[in-house]
Formats: sequence, C-alpha cells, structure tokens
Amino acid sequence: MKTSDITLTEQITNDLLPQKFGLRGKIWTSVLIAICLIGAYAYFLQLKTGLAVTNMGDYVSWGIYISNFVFFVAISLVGSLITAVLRLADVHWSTPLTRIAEIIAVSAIVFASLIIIVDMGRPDRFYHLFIYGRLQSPILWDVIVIGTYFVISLLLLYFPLLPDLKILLRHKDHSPKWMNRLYSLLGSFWKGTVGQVKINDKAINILCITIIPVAFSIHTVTSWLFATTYRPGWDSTNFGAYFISGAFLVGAGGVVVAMFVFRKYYHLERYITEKHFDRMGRIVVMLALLYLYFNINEYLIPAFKMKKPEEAHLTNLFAGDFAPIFWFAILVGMIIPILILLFKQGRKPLPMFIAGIMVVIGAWFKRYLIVTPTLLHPFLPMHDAPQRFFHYFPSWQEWAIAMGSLAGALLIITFFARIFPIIPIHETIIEDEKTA
Amino acid sequence: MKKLPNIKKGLVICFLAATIKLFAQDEKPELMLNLSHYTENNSIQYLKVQAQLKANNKLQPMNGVDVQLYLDSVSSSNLIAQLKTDERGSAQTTIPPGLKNLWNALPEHKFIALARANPKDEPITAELEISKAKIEIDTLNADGTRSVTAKVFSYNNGAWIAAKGVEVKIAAERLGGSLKIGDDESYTTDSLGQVSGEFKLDSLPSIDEKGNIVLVARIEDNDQFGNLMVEKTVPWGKYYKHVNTFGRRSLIAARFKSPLWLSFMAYSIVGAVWGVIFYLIIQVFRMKRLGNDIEIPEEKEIPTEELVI
Repeated sequence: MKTSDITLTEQITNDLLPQKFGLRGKIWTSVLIAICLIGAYAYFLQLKTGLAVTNMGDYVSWGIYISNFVFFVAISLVGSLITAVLRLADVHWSTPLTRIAEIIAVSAIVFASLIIIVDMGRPDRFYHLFIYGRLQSPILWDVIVIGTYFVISLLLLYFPLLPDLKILLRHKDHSPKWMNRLYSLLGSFWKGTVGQVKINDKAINILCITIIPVAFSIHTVTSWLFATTYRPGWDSTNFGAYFISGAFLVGAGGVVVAMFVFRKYYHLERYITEKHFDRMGRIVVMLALLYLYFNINEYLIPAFKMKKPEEAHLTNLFAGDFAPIFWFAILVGMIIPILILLFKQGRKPLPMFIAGIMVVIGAWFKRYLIVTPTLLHPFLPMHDAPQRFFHYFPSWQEWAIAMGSLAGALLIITFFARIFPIIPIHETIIEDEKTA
Repeated sequence: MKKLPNIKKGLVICFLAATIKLFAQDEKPELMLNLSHYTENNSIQYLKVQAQLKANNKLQPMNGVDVQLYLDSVSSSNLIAQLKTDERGSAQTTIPPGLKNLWNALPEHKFIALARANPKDEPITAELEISKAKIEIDTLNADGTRSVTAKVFSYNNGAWIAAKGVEVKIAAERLGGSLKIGDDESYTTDSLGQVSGEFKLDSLPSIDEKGNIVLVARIEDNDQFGNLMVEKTVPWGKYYKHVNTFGRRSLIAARFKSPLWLSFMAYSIVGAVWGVIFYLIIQVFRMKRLGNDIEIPEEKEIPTEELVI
C-alpha cells in the first residue's frame, strides 16, 4: 500500500466511523423515545382494558394496526431491492446504500411482527398461533415468512458488517467500552483471511439469492390475507403483484429519505453523492409508474364493471367520505413524485427528499385505504349495529400505538447508525481502490 | 284578479297542512296491547300478551309493563295471572287449575288484559273472545300415495261439531320452521270440518333412526278459535346417517389435517429455506474457527497474500 492509499483509507474510515449524537441527534432521539413511551402507555391501557380501547368493531376489525403492519411489511422489501437485486446485477454504485436499506428492512420487519401482536389484543394469542395454527391459513404463512425474512435480513446485515467490525475494533478509542465489547462479541473472530473472505462472499451471494423469493413471498402472502377474503376491493388475482410494486416504491422512497438525512447530518456528501440521488430517483420514478399502473388496473376495471357490491365501495373512495384520502394517496404518493423525479433538477438531493417523504406518507395512507373502506362495505347489509360501527376513526390509543411503532422503527435505525457504520467502510475502501 | 281566490285557497291548504303536521308531531305515545290464545295438541293452553308503544308512527316493544289477565270478567276470582313483559314486550301464562270449573262451564270465553304505561294512567284494555275448538290429524297411505287429513271441531252444547270454512295449514315440522307437505300453503275445511293434502315430500330427512318426521296441522290467528296446533309423528322420513368429516384432511380441516400435497409443498419450501439459513449460520462458526486459528499481534500488519484487508 502506498502512503497516499493509507491516508485515503484512513480518511474514509474516519469519515464513516459511527459518530456521537450532536444536539440535534439527542433531541431527535428524545422525541422518538417520548413517542415510543406514549405508545407503550397506550398499549398498557389496551392490555388492561382490552381491545375496547380501540374504535374497531364488528365490521372494521382490522383498523390502523393492520394498515401499519402492511406499511411495515412493504417498506421492509427495500432490503432485497437495494442489497440483493442490485448486488446480483453487479451494480456497484449502490454500495453506500446497502446498509441503510438493510437496517430499514430489519427495523420495519421487527415492528411489523410487534404490531400484529398488538392487533391480536391479548399477546398470548400469538402463542396460540403456533400451537393451534393451521397450515391452510394465510395467517400462518405470513407468520412463517415474516420470521424467515427477519432472520435472512439480519444475516444480510451481519455478514457484510464483519469486515467493518474489525475496523471498528482497530479504532477502539473512538467508541465507548460497551460498544467495543459488542463489536468483539459480534466480530472479534474476523481476521480477514482469504478463507474467511471466501466464505463471507459466498454467504452474501447465497443470502442475496435467497432473500429475493422470500421477500416476494412476504409481501405476496400479506396481500393474500386480503385477496383470499371475498370482499369488495380485495377480490383480485392481481393483489400479489400490486402489493410488491407498492412495497418496492415505498421502500425506495424510505431509502431516499434516509440517504438525505444521513448525508446531511453525518456530512457524507463525498460518499452519498448527487449521482446516487439521480440514480435512486430514476428507480423511484420507474417504481412509481409501475405502482400507478397497478392502481389503475385495480380501480379502473372494477369501476368499469361497477358490480353492485363494488359500487358503494368504489363510489366512497372516488367521491365519498374516503375521497380526500384516496386522491391524496394517488397524487402525493405517486403522481407528484413522478412529476418531480422525471426531470433532472428534480433528482437533486432536496427535491428527492421531498419526493421521498411524499411517497412514504402517501404509501401509509394507501395502506389505510386498502384495509378500512373495504371493511365498511361488507356484502351483507349492515343491520342492528351501533351507529359507531358504521364509521371508523382510530382512538387516541390506536394512534399512539401506531405512531409509537413508527417511532420505534426510526429509533432502531437511529441507534444502529450510532453504533455501526451506516455506510460499509470496508466495501467503500475496496470500491475506492478499484476506481483509483 | 281571478287569480286571487286561488291564492287564498292555496294559503288555506298550506295552513291546514301545516296544522295537521303540527298535530302529527305532537302525537302522544300510545300503549298498545295484543292478546293471543294458543292450544297445543288439544291439551296445553296458554295466553300471550304483547305490549307495544306507538310513537312517531313506529311500534316499539315495551319492557316491564304490568299486565293483569282475567277470564270472562274483571274480578279477583277470575284473575288468570299478573304478568310483566320482557325486553321483547311479551309475556305468557297458562290458565290456572283454579279456573277449571269456570272454563268448563261455557263453550265460549272472553280474555281481558289490563295494563298501564304509567301507574298514574288509565288502564289500557285488550279483549279476546274465543270458542273452544280442537283439531284431529290423521294419515293415509294408499297405493303409495301418502296423504294427511285434519278435522276441525268446535264445542257447542256439550258436543264437538264439525267446523266449516276454517283455514288450516298442514306441514312437516323442521328445525326452525315448517315445510308445507304439498303445493298449497293452506286448506279450508269442508262441511265435515275436514281438509286433506297429499304428502309430496320425498326423502325428507328424519328426526331419528326410525325415519320419523313430525306432521303438524295448524290454525293461525283465527277470529273464532285463536291459535290451535296438533302434531303427529309418522315414519315417512328418510334416515341419513351423519358422516363426520372433521378428522379428514382438507383445506377446511383443523390443525395438522391439511391436505398431504399442501403439507408436502409447504414443509419442503420451509425446510429448504431454513436449511439454507442453518447452513449460513454454520458458516459463521466456520469463519470463527478459521479466525481463532490465526493469532495476530494487536498492532502488527498481516501479510497481504494472507489477508484481504
């Protein structure tokens, strides 16, 4: 190694080592913890009183919790897109984004699992799912694929982290003792020998191949929870593909937002460049167009036929009570981001960040629209039910738990970025050497 | 100028309509009583009272209304029962044995119900007059044709006389309802007080292993006789042995009873994916072993041919 190479390597290492929270970081973390605590208190009330604290009822039995679950499952799909698909396609520009994508996937899938337990009311029902679960039920398939995807995502986060752990252990003075102990526990055995690197590379390749069908399964099975139920708005053979396209979009949008935030607050302009934003912008616009296509497919064809049971549901979405949210989700979640990102100027970091935020928020409301309006339009007329069953608006406990789970996912990402390098140091050095 | 009287007429009509509307809005809630008499199998008799509140042109069942029922006249010796309506606004009672002599003395009787919506209100009265009657049911199975006959009699001057022109329904009792035995919903008795209908229900599931079904002849809400019903059990049904499919493998079966093809596919996929995961976890231990075999001094560089970084 030349002296200049060593300097460059050291500079990359110093730039990418985890940084302590500044004032803004502390405020951000405190706010997230506060939201989580409010959510935890609301969950305590739910445990104490039961699901009666929610505004769910006989008709809307899946409310904001399940919307949130579908959102988490969707955003978790990004791990397979950025890490696996682009890695297998031998695309190297995405290297700085892989770990961001993977930690988004892991944090989202953790809270997807937790929010399902929250939705069950009594947490011991989760245990019942294993002892009384039926293999014929899509709910059990979902539990299996979520568990599998979580483990694979964790491994895909861990294997590429091993060389970085060695670097972190070399810079012990940079981190507090407990973090060094954690690094030792996770990767003290990594010496970077040829044998180890060979095994590691092979493991990452196997994981990249394995995670794609599992990622497709997780979201397809989640869509089947709806599509296997005969209901207006859910009775579709296209639901798997529709959900996957939406999941890729929200995941890519989430990565764009995270890229911007990490770049700005960790001063990573040298590593996450405008070129990265431009390329991610192209991916997002392509995915938004794809999702828009599936949306047109899902709404236009039933609207063209206007079968009687679908009529009330679709009219309610297009021009009824849910119309503001529906058009917000379509415009803000798809059309406006497409219009921004189609132009080169729109693929600059700030417009990209705004478009990413729009995609994520639009996607959250889109999941709400998939779940709730359908439940309010059953095939059989709603009779002899209390007036409140005819409408649904989440209770404060539901909002608190849902927001708490979103804050929890962000908290995992925040703490991960504090403990581990959010951009792979070792891979960046290798890429840099190759470029040089 | 000719238009003026028309305008006046219009104003008067509007005023009247508004007045009627105002009166309609001020309509006082009214308690309504409905009394019915039932006889089952010519022996068990009971009375049913229904209390409803009429308000805003709607009838609502009234819970907790105190009702006194009398036989023939309102006096303490003729009291049948004191009842309180349930949440469906209904209450029922049998005629007590103490009124047997009074009951047997006459062929026709009057039932009187008294009730108050509020203790301060005047009592509401409902009356029901009935003549004693009975139904007999019989069956005939000739040349493979099955028919059901019902005869209606009214009690008069100490004798049972055929009742003409009474509407009778003949049906087979099913769980939760009745199934008409032929094409007609009901039959009207002739001068012999008799109706007859062909039994056309082939292969009707029976209630027991002997192939029994229950036939019923019924008079409903008759002005003269009230409600009468008589049953007869006949072996005209077909016994279907229930085959329990609960334990069989199917998509709708309970746990561990999924179809073999599904179990095979699902467990194969899950096994394959988790096999890969376990293989990868083993690779972590392999790397660990490889790493532990090499002892590297803390600050010493590793030869480049041996190490990647």
